[in-house]
Amino acid sequence: MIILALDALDVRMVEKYGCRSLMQVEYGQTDLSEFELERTVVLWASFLTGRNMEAEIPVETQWEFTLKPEETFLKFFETYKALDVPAFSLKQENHKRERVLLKKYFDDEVSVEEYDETVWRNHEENKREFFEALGRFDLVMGYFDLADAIGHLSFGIPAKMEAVYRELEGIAKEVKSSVDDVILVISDHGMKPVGRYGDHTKNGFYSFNRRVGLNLPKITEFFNIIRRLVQVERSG
Amino acid sequence: MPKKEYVNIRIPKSIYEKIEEEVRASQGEFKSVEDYVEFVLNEILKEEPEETVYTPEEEEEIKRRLRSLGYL
Repeated sequence: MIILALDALDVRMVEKYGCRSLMQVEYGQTDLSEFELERTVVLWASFLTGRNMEAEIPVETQWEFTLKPEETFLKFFETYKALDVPAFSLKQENHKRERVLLKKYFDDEVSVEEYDETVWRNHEENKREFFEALGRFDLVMGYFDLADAIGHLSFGIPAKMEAVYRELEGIAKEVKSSVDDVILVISDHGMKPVGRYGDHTKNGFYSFNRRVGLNLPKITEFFNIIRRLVQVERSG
Repeated sequence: MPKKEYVNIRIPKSIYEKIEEEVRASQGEFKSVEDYVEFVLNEILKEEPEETVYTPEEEEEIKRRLRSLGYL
């Protein structure tokens, strides 16, 4: 199984840019109504564990919050690669650097271009490691924060966001052509413009490369959906 | 269709000569240096502006949200 975990991939933006490879065979919006705030670590932790983790993850220490494999759906797989996954294997240094630059941007110490450059460099690193892992594990889950990190400072700039969505569409297309396996594309939340900036929304996204028959699924439901898909795979 | 009006602009000769080479290499896509320059400038001008288009209130609101989401 392949999971493309795309931070802030917005269902309306996927449709706007006609990203067919991201849409796959079945796609839709996720139901995040049970969450007070669309916090990245909380949502990925809830996706991984199948339960709402909002009350258990304080905002002050959220980036360091780490689940054990047995608390997550990773336990359903004999071998897995969880690349840069929030609440599990987050690359602390890379993300801390992005947050430091974000703060420096608002303090007028760095330009948006300097911030973007770091985000894209981290993205390219994850992309390289993700494609190296394909075909070598029962599950490869790759996390990419490009749409979120670029979006926070530039969601209101269509040219930049189109480039981001084209890049993510390219990854999905390459995955599709590389493996014959279940592919889940999922985001934690969506995004909306605030002037030139972007802010989290509840327009989360999911898609499968086969018909699963979901209708506005909660992000916590994917725990059991993944378990069932693994069982079907083993029995088949 | 109204006839286009033109103005003269001075550019360094070295750039003019480079554009002449580009025009020759384009194999007819560009008919002249003027044609090439007009195309390039049109492309640049139609790009979306990346100037800041936010208000101080929007910036304060986004910073508040970024803090509540744990980014700042």
